Amino acid sequence: MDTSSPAVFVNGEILKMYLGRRVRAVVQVMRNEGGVIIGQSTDGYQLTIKGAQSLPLSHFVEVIGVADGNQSIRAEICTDFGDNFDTVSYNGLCQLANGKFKNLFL
Amino acid sequence: MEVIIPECEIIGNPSLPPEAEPVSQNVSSTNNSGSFTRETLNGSAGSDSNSVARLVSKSSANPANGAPSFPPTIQPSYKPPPMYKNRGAIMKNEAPARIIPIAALNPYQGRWAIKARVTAKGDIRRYNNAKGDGKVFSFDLLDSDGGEIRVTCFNSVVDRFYEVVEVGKVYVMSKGSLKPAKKNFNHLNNEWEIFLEAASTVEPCPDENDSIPTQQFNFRPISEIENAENNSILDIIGIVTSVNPSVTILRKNGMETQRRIMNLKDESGKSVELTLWGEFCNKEGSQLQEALDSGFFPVLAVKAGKVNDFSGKSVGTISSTQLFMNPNLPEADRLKVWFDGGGKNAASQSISKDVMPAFSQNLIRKTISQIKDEGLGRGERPDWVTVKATVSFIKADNFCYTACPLMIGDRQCNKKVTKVAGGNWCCDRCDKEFEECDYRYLLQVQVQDHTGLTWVTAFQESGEDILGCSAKELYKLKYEENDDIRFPEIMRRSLFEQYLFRLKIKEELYGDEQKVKITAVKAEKVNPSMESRYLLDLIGRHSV
Repeated sequence: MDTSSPAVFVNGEILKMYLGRRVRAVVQVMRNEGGVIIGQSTDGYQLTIKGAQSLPLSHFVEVIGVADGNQSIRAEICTDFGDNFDTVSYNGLCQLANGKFKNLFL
Repeated sequence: MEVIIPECEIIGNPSLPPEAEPVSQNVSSTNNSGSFTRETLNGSAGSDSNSVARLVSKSSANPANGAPSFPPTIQPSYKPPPMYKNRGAIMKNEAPARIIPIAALNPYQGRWAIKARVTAKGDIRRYNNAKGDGKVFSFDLLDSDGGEIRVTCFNSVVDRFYEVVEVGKVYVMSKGSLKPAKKNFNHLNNEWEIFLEAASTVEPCPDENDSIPTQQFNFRPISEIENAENNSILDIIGIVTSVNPSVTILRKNGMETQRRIMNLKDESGKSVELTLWGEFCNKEGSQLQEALDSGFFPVLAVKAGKVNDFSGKSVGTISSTQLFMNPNLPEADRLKVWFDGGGKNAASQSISKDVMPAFSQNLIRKTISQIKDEGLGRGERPDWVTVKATVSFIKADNFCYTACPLMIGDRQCNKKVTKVAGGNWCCDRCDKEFEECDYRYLLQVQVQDHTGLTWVTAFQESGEDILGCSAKELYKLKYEENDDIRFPEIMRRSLFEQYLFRLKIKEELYGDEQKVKITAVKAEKVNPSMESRYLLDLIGRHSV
């Protein structure tokens, strides 16, 4: 398993702290625009996911890629999580993983 | 010694020399001719004719008119003779007593009057004791300050007032005697009780309608009942969510009575069982049943219900309980709005069952090692905890027992039954025989978490949760169809599932050894979303 570049759990707020780094985020699909997904992060920010195939509206998708803007990710892997996802728990995870327990993750 | 005044009025109750004439007892309280009356109130609440001894002397000019004649009593020399003369105005103060709040009543009050509404009226009860036959009835009063007091009448006083007093009407009452309230029967918030006597007055007050409420409640939320003392009396209000049919119960004294159980739910997130006894079953019970059958969930207010802690905490009716269906109260309106606006579907924990659903996150969560480390189950009462663990083994032998299917009231007997000669099953408790018995789980399950492992016993409900089928089905599979493929498959597929177990832990004596017995009353598959939230909260609370 390649652990050289772990993807950081991010939400809209935390994304800007990791520009240029590998990140992962779960967003809810709001719009599909030909190769780009506009999604809502678990803390309500609007993120642009570039290089992603079209996915069903209001499904949750996990995006692993590189943060290339305050509110955009260049996607490498996209996984459809379906339409049943607990955003509150995920958001809590993002906060813990970048706060007190950062050393457990990075 | 010299006699100064040949004829004196008699004051008090002197014991008479045997040759004297008997005292005339004039029991008139409305004598307005200025006669000087003196009442002596006896301590016992027996029949009124014995308890009031009056001495009436007319203060007319001629002392010989009806005045008893006694040989003059010799006054002790150190005391001046009484200054009461048989002339001059001696008037009893006949002005009506001032109306005081019920809360101010006490035996040392002197003259008093109260104005109050009747909130409850009991039936006439006849009794027989050493003094003979008697009858008694009581009613409760509520005044505009919210004070309450019970009023009791005996024998002839019953006849005077029983028809006069009506529930809901307002009366002005005066000249009753105050005695300590009998707390066993009187649950009103007053240390005194009024006993009406011959001189008492109860006047209806037809024009008074609004300043005095018709009933006073002190409602407690259902969640508070959990901590209420056994046998305490309280008022509750809630939405009736279910009504069970009446059952006939045999009481200790051999008499039969009716019992009816229903469930009340309120905004506190808890629900409670309300037990109706006797007449309530047919009267209010039927009304509530009708409402539910028509699809309505009525509000029920209970005044003076009794807390019972036999199985969790429940509330039962007593003779002085009053039930009000859909009362005209702000609390009732508030409940209706809450219920119709979503409260109907809100999850509600019942405080009346030993088993509490494991759905709430507020329950105590322990790890398996904590059960041993903290000595759970060693106290007087069993410990109830939630443990998240994985099933690692299920004993395949003796996974169920033969149970009695007969109903006792609204619960199944479930006692273990034995087969008798002839092929039938026999239950010792019900004392009956029948062909088909029920099968109920008695699973021995080994469970593990990251701290350790332990054995728990799973009964019917949790057994079904774990294995996913009924004990009867499984029994048939194994012992009747001898299915060697499906039976082990069912056992195997149940392994390594993670559950939230609701455990009842209690130390019990087995032979001469104290063993901690753990029963799984509920096995709930872990809901990842809820569990995540629980863990997030836990992490938040524990990290400094």
